[in-house]
This record gives sequence, structure tokens and C-alpha cells, in this order.
Amino acid sequence: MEDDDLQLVRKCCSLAFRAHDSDAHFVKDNSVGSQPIFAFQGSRSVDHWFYGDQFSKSKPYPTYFPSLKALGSGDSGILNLALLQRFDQILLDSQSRLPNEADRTRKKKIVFTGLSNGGAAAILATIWLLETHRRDPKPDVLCITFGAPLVGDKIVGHAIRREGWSSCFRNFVFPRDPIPRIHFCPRDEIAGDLPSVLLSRVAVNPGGSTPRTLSSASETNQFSEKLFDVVFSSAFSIASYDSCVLRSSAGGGCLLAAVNGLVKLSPYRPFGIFYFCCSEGEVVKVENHEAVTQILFHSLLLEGSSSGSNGYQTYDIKKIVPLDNLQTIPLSANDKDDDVNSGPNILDLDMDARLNLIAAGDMEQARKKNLATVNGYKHDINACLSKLQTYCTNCDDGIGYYDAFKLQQHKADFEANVTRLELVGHWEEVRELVKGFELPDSFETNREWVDLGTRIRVLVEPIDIANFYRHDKNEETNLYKADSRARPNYYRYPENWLRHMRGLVPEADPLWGKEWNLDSCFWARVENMCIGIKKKGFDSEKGTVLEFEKEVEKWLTEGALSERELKRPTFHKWWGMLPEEHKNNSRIRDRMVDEARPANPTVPN
Amino acid sequence: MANLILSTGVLQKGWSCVTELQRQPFSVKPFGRFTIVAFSSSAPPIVGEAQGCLDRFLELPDKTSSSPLDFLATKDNTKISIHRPSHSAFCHLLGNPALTDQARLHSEAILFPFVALKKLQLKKSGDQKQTQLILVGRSLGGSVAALFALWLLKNRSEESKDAQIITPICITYGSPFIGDAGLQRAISKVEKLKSHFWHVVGDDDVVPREFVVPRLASQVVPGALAEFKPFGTYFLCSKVGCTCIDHPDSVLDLLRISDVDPADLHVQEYDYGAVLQQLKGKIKNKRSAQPQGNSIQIGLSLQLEALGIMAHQHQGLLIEMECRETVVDIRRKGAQNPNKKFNDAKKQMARLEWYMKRCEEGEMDYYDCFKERNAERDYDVINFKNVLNRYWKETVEEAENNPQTSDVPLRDRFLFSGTRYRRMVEPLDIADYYRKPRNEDYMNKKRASHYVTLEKWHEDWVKSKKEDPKEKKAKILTEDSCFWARVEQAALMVNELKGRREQGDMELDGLRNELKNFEGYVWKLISNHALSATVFFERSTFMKWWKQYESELKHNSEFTSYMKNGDYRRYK
Repeated sequence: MEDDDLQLVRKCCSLAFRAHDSDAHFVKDNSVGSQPIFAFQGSRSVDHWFYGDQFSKSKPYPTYFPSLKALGSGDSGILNLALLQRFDQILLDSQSRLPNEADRTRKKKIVFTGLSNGGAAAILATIWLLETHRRDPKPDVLCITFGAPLVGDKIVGHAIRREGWSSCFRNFVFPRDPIPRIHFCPRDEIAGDLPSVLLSRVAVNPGGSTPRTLSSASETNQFSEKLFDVVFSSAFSIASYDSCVLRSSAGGGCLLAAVNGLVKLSPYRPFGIFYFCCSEGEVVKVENHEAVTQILFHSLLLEGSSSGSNGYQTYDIKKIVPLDNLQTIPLSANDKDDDVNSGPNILDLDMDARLNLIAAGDMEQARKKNLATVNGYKHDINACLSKLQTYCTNCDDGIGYYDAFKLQQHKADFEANVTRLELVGHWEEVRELVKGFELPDSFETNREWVDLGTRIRVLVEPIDIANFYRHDKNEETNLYKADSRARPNYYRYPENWLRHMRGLVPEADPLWGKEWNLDSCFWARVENMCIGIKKKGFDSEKGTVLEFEKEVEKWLTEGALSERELKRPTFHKWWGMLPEEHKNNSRIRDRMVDEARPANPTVPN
Repeated sequence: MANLILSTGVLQKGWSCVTELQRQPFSVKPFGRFTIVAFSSSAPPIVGEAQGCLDRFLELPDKTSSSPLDFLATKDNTKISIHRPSHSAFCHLLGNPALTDQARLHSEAILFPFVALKKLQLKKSGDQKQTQLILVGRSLGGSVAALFALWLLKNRSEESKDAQIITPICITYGSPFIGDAGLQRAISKVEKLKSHFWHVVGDDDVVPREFVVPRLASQVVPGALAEFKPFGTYFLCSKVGCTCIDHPDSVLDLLRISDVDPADLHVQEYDYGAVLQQLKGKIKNKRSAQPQGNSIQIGLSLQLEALGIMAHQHQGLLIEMECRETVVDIRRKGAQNPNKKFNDAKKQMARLEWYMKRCEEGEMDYYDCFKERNAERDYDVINFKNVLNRYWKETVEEAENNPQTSDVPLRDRFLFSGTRYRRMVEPLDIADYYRKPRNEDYMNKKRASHYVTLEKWHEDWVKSKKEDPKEKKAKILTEDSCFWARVEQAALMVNELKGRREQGDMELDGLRNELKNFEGYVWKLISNHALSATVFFERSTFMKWWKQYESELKHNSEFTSYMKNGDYRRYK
């Protein structure tokens, strides 16, 4: 951190204190160069900390956070409902003052800051700003918090890192401050002690006019011993659990599942960069989120460090020591090669903690290694794709590759089947890694992979559908539909990726290619309608047919669907099953007419 | 791992349930997300049980009487021995008159599990979340809890079977081993089970070490003692720390080296509550040892240190434990992704399918092509067939050897693929068999057991499903995978019929009736569209049979007229 930045942090800190007890939702300051700073008000109301169930889980959350999910699976993350509601109120109450203010200063660098609960608001405001400008160049925004609680779960953190927003968040935390860990605890165990804690804290020094230096000992006494114990044992559970995940040996996974059934652990995990403010102005900077979780617990053991929120105001940053290269951390402080002033030593981490940090580093490395492995598949996948493309092109003059594959009459059809299986094998492996978060967080927004995944989906899914109906698998499972279990997940994932990426880029981008607009479940929909009409008659399918025809017309017009496809046997079979009366009024009648009645005498010259 | 278990606080809660038990044989206590059932350690009176050493084991399945735990024995793990006193105590509680002395059936024992547990599970299945059942007990009570947990794997109330199944957790405090290597194998088959048995063992508790080291002179019977084996996850603790171990050999070793001085044999009961309390306080202390080596070695020495064992005094043990860990690690990493294997099998199926297609183009069913083996491609098929057979034999075996705790052993997509495989590949095995002269009765003499199993599973699945009207369309694959074996048998019968008739044998009604049965069978397949159309190719074994049979015919049936009129040509 440069001197300028330190200046900014100090400025933010004093603003955050001012805002914490102010009457307004936020305080704005323009004094630092071209950087407007928004500092958010804090809160002592328990409802602003815990709301709803034990862990104040929100699901689903507002539409202004569309990115906060795992893209492929579509699993949404969890935000702390109490903190979220409070932010929602700020957005609403300020009568769009916040949006306006933020808008007015868009060209400049914006800083959001806050102390404690205000810090959570600052974090949410930052995400909100980044989300609102998803399609524009990334706004220059910085979020600096002091002793802020955790706002989101693992998936939220994953999404933040995936979008490349992680470095916008700078969280300053005292090693023994309970607030950043407060959401590791279930409400019932802590809510009783909370009001007194919240009241006794910043209120000691109203207005902040005469800073009082408090010794760490007397500060600790401000919290009940009990509260600290609950925070401590909850943090211990979380750290043990995550450490088991990191270092999971053979049976680890099952034990985790068993423990999950017993105790409900908090879902919240840190994201962004963390600065642990140790004694004598030494600040340890940690970026790896898994390492941060471990340190949030282990640093609770750090003797003689500050713990109260007031400390942030008087704390003087002297030196920032980055804690990186996790894999090479020496195992004990007495190691000869070890620098006394290294991060782990400043934090006075014991062997257990160090082993966990190394494991966190190993995990990061393993993800990179997986990425390299997966990138190695690209060549094979592309080779398969081009074989299938040739197959598709060769069939185009005849009945089309969907029907050709369904009939399996030629050697080419058989070869396409083998190629399909080869490709799916690789692709499924990639998807499983994505699902288990075993690839770097940014994987799902990697353009090359989104492009590759989409090409696979568009080209190969019709083959999978043909295979499905060729074997009458609908008699075993249910129908093949975009959202049914019969549809393999390896098509669902890239479909979600494309949808997300299209939301990020202008419509002129190649990702908006028209050829990708066609529903890749097109043929399944045709087959399902045929089955439905056969079983239950046309009337039961009428709505679906009308809707489908509307879409077909759209795809034809925009060029996503070629007119040739309408002449394919399966499509023709479908058309043939529709009653005459319906056909005559159909919106795609004109497109079908030549084929249905080859020499139509009624067409005037 | 030890920290994780400790951090749940469940060990302490379980212990307090155990200590609060007084006279009653068990207690049930709900704790929100979970319910603890504690078992008393006082053994029920045993009548007519020999107390001798050799008789400490009860072998399952027992020849003379059945045990509620018989299901643990599986095909490849036929013998399981269980500590007899524990088993009796367990059966006693279960109120099972088969094994316990009927006269001793206390009313309280009957009260026990069925009523109490069923109620418990019923209540909870309503509000979606099921409670996690935790069975606890100290010493013999722990053994009973463990047996009960095993029993519950199979005997869940109907309501909880539908819901997502939560395997019960069992916590024992200072319990001796309850079974032999057979039990150990049965448990280790299901990876998940290992982590649902937590055995808490204190550093100077004698009881859990009872069968580790021979204690009394009378116990030293060669071979007998070595047979008790640990299973599950061991939570070893001392005032200094705690550690978790799940490799059975390492558990044995650690219990052995941490053995208690015989002089302490009569110390008072080990107080797990106090030790656990101390351990909790210990979290706040830092560990400052300086072990060296790689991460496995450091992890292991930390484990030993937690037990108050100095790592450097047991270098040999350390090395051995490290080897075990490494082997487990390698095995885990080396295990091929099941999805990948599945996908590979699918590729072979695609190749076979192409073969079928090629045969069909030559107006032959692939059964006959493979039987006659005129083309090179017929020989290539042998390879695909072998690969597929190996894959499915393994898969079926694996599923079969898990102690059967659920009704459908294979997941849906495996079951469908397995059925497709059976219908496609078994005809090839049949062809292989009947191409050798004088081979007969495939069904009883040659049929591989995994086909039988796959067929049974498919039938169970069909039964469990509502019948949906299917499209009237000939199948690509004949539904009965043994169709060709039946045709071959019928052909043999026609031959016999012809031969005997020519010799003037008049007692042919039996044979004719059997052939009529076969007719009926084929007719049913035809009307259900369950045959592949390729069966009717002129050169097929089936048509050859028909031509022979036709000349011997003395009656008319729906089937014979269908064939005579040539209606089969329109079968599709």
C-alpha cells in the first residue's frame, strides 16, 4: 500500500467513525482529491445484525445482485438477511440519493467505507454499484471496512472472485475483534449478549471529538466473557470444518457429511482482501480467502492485541506485511530461515494454523493445476467438435444430422456416436471440476471456455436428444426437457454461462451470435409434442404448439434456424400430426406450405 | 478431524446422557437437530450362555438360529463374528426371542426400540427435516449401541425409507472391540459407514483395550484373541490432546503402545466427561512442537503427541503408519473416476450397436452372425464383449457386496444401462455357448450370475413403477435376454421329437407340450412387441427352428397361423 493509500485509509477510518453514530444513512466527503468517500452509518439494533433464522439466511435475494451465484449449477448464494435488509432500506430511504450521488461521481474513483455494521453496508453498496454497471467498463470503486461482519457465504465469495471484484474489498480487522466473526455464531447462542455489547462499544466515545486511548485489557472487558467464548467456539468449529475440507484425507468427506447432520454451521465466509491489524502497527495482509477463514479463528488466540472497534480509530498503520506464498510457510516460528517479521510470526500462528495455511496454498495450487489439465483437453475436444461438424455438414443436404443419427443407417452415424461419447467424457470431467469448485473461480467466465461450451451444446445436444429418443428413453425416465432430469448437466452449465456472459457484454459482441439463439432442446420439444399429441390428443398440447410456433417464427426471421430444418422428417412428422384447421391458421404455415403440399394449386401466381 | 468432532460438542452431550442413565436400559433425549439414545452398560442376565473364551464369538449367520444382524454377511464376506455378550445384550433389548432366553424377556425390553424409535422417526418425518439419531453408550452399552446402529441400517421405519436417509451415528465411550475381521470388512465396504462410528478411547482406560492385548491368563487362547478387530473412526484422547484415526491397523498399534499398566487395572472408571472438558479448554493453548518431515509425517507425530506418546520413541510405528496413509492416498487417487469407466463402457456399446446394424444389413440377426463367425468383424466383437462383461461384472458385484440397506442397489441410469447391456451382450454369450456342439441348457448350466442379478433388479424396478402405456413398436433389442437360449433349447427339442418319431416312439405328448409352451412364450413376446424384428430374418436360428417345427406340427394356434400366413413379415 502506498502512502496515498494509507492516507486514504486514515481518512476513511475517521469518516467511518463519524458516520457510525450520525443520523444520516451515510456521510459523504469530497475532501480527498478526486475521490468522493461515502461512509455508512452503523447500527446497534439487534435486528440489524440477526434476522429470521439462526443464521439470518436470505434466499433468494434482490434482483440487483444477479451475479451472486454459481453460474453453471445456478445455485444462488446466501447473504445475511439482517445486513441486506438494512442496505435495502438505505437504498430505498435515501430516495435514490445514493444511486444519484454514485451516478454523479461515476467518472471518478468512489470509495465506500464503514465501521462494523456500517462496513457491511459499504460492502453491499460496493457490490450493488459493480452489479449496476455490469455492462459498462468496471467502475473504479474501493471498499474499505473496519471491523465489518461477514455478509455472504462461500458462493457469494466465489462469485465476487469470479467477477474479478475481490481486490475492491479491503477489510481491516483486529485479531480479537468479535464482530468480524459474529456471524459464525447461531443467533440463539449470542443474541442475548448482543445488545449490551453493541451499546457499550462505540458509544464510549460519542462524536469522536476527544479520542481516548484504551488499553487492550480494558477493552476486552467490554464484552462479556461468555460472548467471547461463543465467538471463539463457533470460529473454532468453522475453522476445523474448513480445515477438514482443505486437508480432507480419504474419509474426510464422509465425516464432514456426518457432522453436517449434527450441527448447523454458519454458511458465512470472508471474501476480499483482509488486513489483520496486529500490535505495534504491523498489519498482515492476506488475500487467499481460505487462509483468511483460518486466521479469523487462529488470531483470536493472539495475546495482547486490540479487540474493540474504538481501537481502529487510534490504530496507526506502520507497516503492511503480505502473507503470501502460503505453500512455503515454515512450520514453526523457530525455523532458522524464518524472518521474525513474517506474517505468520506477527500473527503468532501455531503449527496447526500453519498446516492449515499451507493446505490453503496447496488448494489454490491444485486449482491451477486442474486448469492446466483441463486446458489440455481443449485440443481433443476441438478435434471431436470438428469431426461432428463435418458429420453435420454432410447430412445437411439430406435429412439433417438429427434424423440421420436417429436412424443410424450409415457408418458416419456410428462414428458420430463414438465421437460424441469421447467428447462428452472430457466435457463431463470439466463440469465435475466446476461443480466441486476445483477450478480457479474465474473459470466460468473465461470467454474461451464459454465459447467452447456453447459450441458443444449447440452442435452436440441434438445428437444426445436423437440418441435419447432413438432408445425410447422417455419410457424409462421422463421426457427430455430443458429443465428435466433427463437432460445432462453438461449442457445446462454452458447454457447458464452464456446467459450470464451475454449480460456482461454489448449486443454487438460475438457472444450474441444469432446462431446461438436457437434453443438447443429444439428437437426434444418437437419429439415431446409428438408424444403428447399421440397420447392425449392435440388439444392438450395446443398451448405448447402455439408457443413453439411463435418461437420458430422468431428463429427463422433472425436466422437462428434454417428453413431446411422444417423439411426434416421429424419436424415433418410433427407438422403432419397437427389438425388441418390448426395448420391453416398457423403462423408458420407459409413456411411449411410448399413442403406440405408440394404443388399447391391455390397459391395464385 | 479430531478438532472437528470435538467442536460439535456432541461427544460431551452423549457422555452426559450416558451418565444420567440410572436403572433403565436406555434413554431417549431430543436435542433439536439430533436425538441421543443412550444405552446402559449393565449387561442383562445371560442364561445358558457359556462364558468360555472360545465362545466369546457368535458366528453369523448362525446355523441354529437367525440373528437380526444376519444381513451383514454378504456374498463375498460370508462369515462375520460378533462379541457374544454384546450380541446377547443387544438381542435382549430388541426383544428378539430367537436368541435370548424367552423367559427373561422383561416387559421393559419389549417396550423398547420398535415403539420408541418408530414414534421418534414418525414425528420428525413430518417437518421435513429428520433428526439425526445418535446412539451412545459406554463400555458394553457402547457395544450394544454399535450393534443397534448396524441393525438400524436395514430396519428403518417405513416413513423414513422414503425420505432422504440419514445414517445414524454411533458414539461409544471406552467400549471393547465387538467383532472380527468379517465385521470390519462389512463396514469398510461402505466408505460412509466408517465415519458414522466414533469410538472414544481414553489414554488409560482398560476396557477398550480388552481384546487388544491378552490380559488374563485364561484369555490367552492361541488365535482367539487376535480375531477381534476395530472398525470405524477412533477418537483417542488424553488430558494432553486428542486425535482421530480410522485405519484399523493403526488403531490397533496405537491402542497397543498406549496400553495401560496392569497395576492400574483396578482404577476407577475412566471419566470421559472430565477429559473432554479439559480438551475443550486446550484449544486455546498453542502447539509448539517442532516435528520435521513431510506433511504426513508431521500430521502423524502431532497425533502421537496428542496422546502423550513421544514420536521419536516409536519411529518404526511412525514409518508404518505413514506407509498405510500413503497406500490409502494412492489408492484413492488411483481409483478411476467411475463416470469415466461408465463412459468407456458406453463407447463399447456404441461399437456393438454398429455391429448389430451391419449384421442387419446382411439380413442376419447379430446372434446368428456371431454364432457362425464368418467375417472378421465377428471376431472383433469378442473384444467388446469381454470389456463390457468385465465392467458389468465388477459393477454388479460391487453393488451386491454392500450390505444391502436400500431396495434399489443401482442408481437409475446404471440400471437402464445395465439392462441395455444385458439385452445386447447376453445373446453373444449364448451364441458362444451353443456354437459348441452338444452344449445344452444354457440357463441352468452357463448363465453368469450378474445377468441374473441385473434381470432381477430390472424386474423389481418395473414392479415399483406404474405401468405406462408404451408405444406399440418393435424393440431394437429383444426384451428377454435369454430369448436365444430358449430358441436353441426348442430347436434341440424339435430335433429330439423328429428323431423319436422316426424311431416310432409314440409317447411324444410331453415334448409336444413343452414346445407348445415355447410357442405361447414367443406369441406373448410378439403381441407385446418385445421381440426385435431381426429375429424373423429367413436365415435366423429362430426361422430354422420354425421350418423344422412346422413339418412336425399337428395342431393350429394363433402363433402357427401367424407364422404360416407370413404375417411375421409385417412385424415391426
